[in-house]
Amino acid sequence: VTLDTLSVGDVVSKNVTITSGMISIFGDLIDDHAPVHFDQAFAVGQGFGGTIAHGFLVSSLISGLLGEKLPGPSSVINESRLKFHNPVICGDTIRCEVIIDRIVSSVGAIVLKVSVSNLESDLVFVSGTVTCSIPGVMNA
Amino acid sequence: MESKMSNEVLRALEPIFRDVFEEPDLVVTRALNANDVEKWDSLNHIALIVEIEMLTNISFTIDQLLDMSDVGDFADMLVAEGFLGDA
Repeated sequence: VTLDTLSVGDVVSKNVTITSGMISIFGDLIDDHAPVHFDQAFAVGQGFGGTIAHGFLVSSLISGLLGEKLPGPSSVINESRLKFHNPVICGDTIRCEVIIDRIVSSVGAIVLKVSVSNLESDLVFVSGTVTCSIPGVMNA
Repeated sequence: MESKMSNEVLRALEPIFRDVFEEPDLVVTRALNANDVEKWDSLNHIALIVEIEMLTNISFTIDQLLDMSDVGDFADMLVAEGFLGDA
């Protein structure tokens, strides 16, 4: 990937259904087994429609888009500024999207707007901006 | 006159410098440069330039950045590009 191949407005997305298996693996990985993620009755008692995914599980799906698609395999994350607006309920199908907002060519940086929303209702779960760079172009 | 405008630019840039380098009391002067700020490394340099471009809506070239030896040079360049610190 080079900056020349990227343009403001370039966009990629993917749809993902959040499963109990994903939540279980992620909970083990980060050692977060809070009952709101695993105990249906507890989660409902907290006012949710079911167990909810870890917020960082949801936001981590954005990382896959960044590294695999846009900007692509040569890029690394420098900064993320995310807001978690609503919880993702286990079983929800979500739409993850990244779009290039600005290219700062002098330092090899790409600013992207990112979002995760419900595929069917457009309810926004996560939104924000991420700055990536392409090593080798940076270090002005 | 240009110096006065540059000082206005310095004041406009100061919140960005303080945020990027996590130094809430940092005073941005014309003489400030990377040697004066402990956290002014390559990654924070990227963050700094990104934030300044976002503030000013001015895109810099690599040559412009290489020509700068301190923040004063940067402020003068921004003034020359039409940014007066009131974005």
